[in-house]
Amino acid sequence: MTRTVPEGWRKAARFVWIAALVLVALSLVMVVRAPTERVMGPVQKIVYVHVPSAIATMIAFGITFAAGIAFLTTRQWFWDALGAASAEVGLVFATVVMITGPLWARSAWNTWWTWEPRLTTFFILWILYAAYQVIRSSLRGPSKRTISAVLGIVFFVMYPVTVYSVNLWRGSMHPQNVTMQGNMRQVLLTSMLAWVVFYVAVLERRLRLEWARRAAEEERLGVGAPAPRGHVAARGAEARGR
Amino acid sequence: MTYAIVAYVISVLLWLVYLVVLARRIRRVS
Repeated sequence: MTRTVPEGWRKAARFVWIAALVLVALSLVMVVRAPTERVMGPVQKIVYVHVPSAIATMIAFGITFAAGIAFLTTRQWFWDALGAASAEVGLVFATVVMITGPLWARSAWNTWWTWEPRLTTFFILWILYAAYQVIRSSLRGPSKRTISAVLGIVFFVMYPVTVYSVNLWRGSMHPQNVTMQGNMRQVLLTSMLAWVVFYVAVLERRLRLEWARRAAEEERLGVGAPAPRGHVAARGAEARGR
Repeated sequence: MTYAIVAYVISVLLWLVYLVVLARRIRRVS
């Protein structure tokens, strides 16, 4: 893996960002124009951000899991960077789920929160990946990457527990799956696509941070090729207090 | 309706704040 972001990567990232912003804007317009559900009313439209965010969360944590395995197998820097980046972006998506869920539940269940299986297991999942961020940021040295990879794999055990919690335990109030038809289904599918593409775009941006950190670290240690001119100038400006 | 608007506003704001903080982190490192 190269030390700076490859040119092809930059071009692809620009395309993904444009696609993500267009799709998210389109999905928001579609949500506004979507038919109002008869029983719940406009509050049902929260589902169009809640469900796609939950799916993006699971994809993000799944990639952290896969990247953890890839890192332990190959010991390549990129897999550690991908796992860490995906865990952080996934945590933001999980936070969106944790905020939008109670807002929907207040109308549907007449309570902001209840300790039913899906909510409880998702809350545990959120805590685990928040702990991942805290533990990783507190680690130094070569063990940082290995411990992060192991945590990314171990914490993913909560994934099937969360998904199947509505079937595993009795008394779950959370819908088992969301079934929609016609226009509402189109809005949900578009929103899912939009937020998953948005996840890819944000992941790319978060990976840039890992790339920059690696370049800065290598420059500090005097390893590898000299940094590009712009890079040196930026660091010089920072040193001058700009 | 209010809850739906609040849900979308908070979601968009959360992402905006995250992206701004991320951009600042990248700029600080590079």
